[in-house]
Amino acid sequence: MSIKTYQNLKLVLTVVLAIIFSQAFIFNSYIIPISALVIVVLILMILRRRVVGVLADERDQALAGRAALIAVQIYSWLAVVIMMILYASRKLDPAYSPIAMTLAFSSCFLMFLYSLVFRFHRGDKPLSTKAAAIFFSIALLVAAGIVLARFLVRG
Amino acid sequence: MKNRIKEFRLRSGLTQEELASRVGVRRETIVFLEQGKYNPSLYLANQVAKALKQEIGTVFDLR
Repeated sequence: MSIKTYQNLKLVLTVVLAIIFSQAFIFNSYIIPISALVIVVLILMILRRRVVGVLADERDQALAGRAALIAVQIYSWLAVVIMMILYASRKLDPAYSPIAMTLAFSSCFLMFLYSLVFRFHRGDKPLSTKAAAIFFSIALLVAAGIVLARFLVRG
Repeated sequence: MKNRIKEFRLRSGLTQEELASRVGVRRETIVFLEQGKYNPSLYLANQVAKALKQEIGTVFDLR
C-alpha cells in the first residue's frame, strides 16, 4: 500500500470516527465510541504495517517538535486569557468558575507533561529516590499548607 | 546551506523518488534539500553523499 492510500484511508476513518462520536453523544451511548475508537486504532496499526516507504523522516520529526512547542504555547496563552475572563465574570454565571479552573489546571498539566517529555528526550537522569522523596515531601507540605490556610480563613 | 544534490542526482540518473528511497526519507525531504530549505542532520547528509557516490564536502557547502 502506498503512503497516499494510507493517508486517505486515515482521513476517511477519522471522519467516520467523528460521525460515530457525535451520534453516540446524541444517543447518550459511551460504549459505541470507545469500541469504535479501539477498532479504528487497530485498523490503522494493521494498515501502517502494510505501507511501503517512509511514513515520517527526520524533517517530519523536526517539524512535529516545533509544531508541538508552538501548539503548547498558543494553548497555554489562550487558556490563561480565557481563564482570567471567565474567572472575572464568575458572578454573572457561577458555571464559569469550574470551566476557568479546568482550563487553568489543564494548561498547567500540559506544560508539566511537556517539560517531563522534553527532559526525557534530552536524556536527563531520572530523580534519585532521595531527591524524589524530598520533592514529593515539599509538594505535600505545600498542599497541606494551602488546605490548612483555606480552612483557617473560612473559620 | 547550499548543496549540489540536484546536480549529482541528475548526473547519476536518479529521480527524487529513487534517491529518497535509497536514503530512507520521503520525496518531499529531497525536494526541500535540493531547494536549500532544509538543513539535514549529519547522518542524513552522509547518507545522501553516499547515495550519490560523493564526499560529503563535495555535495554540501560546509563553509
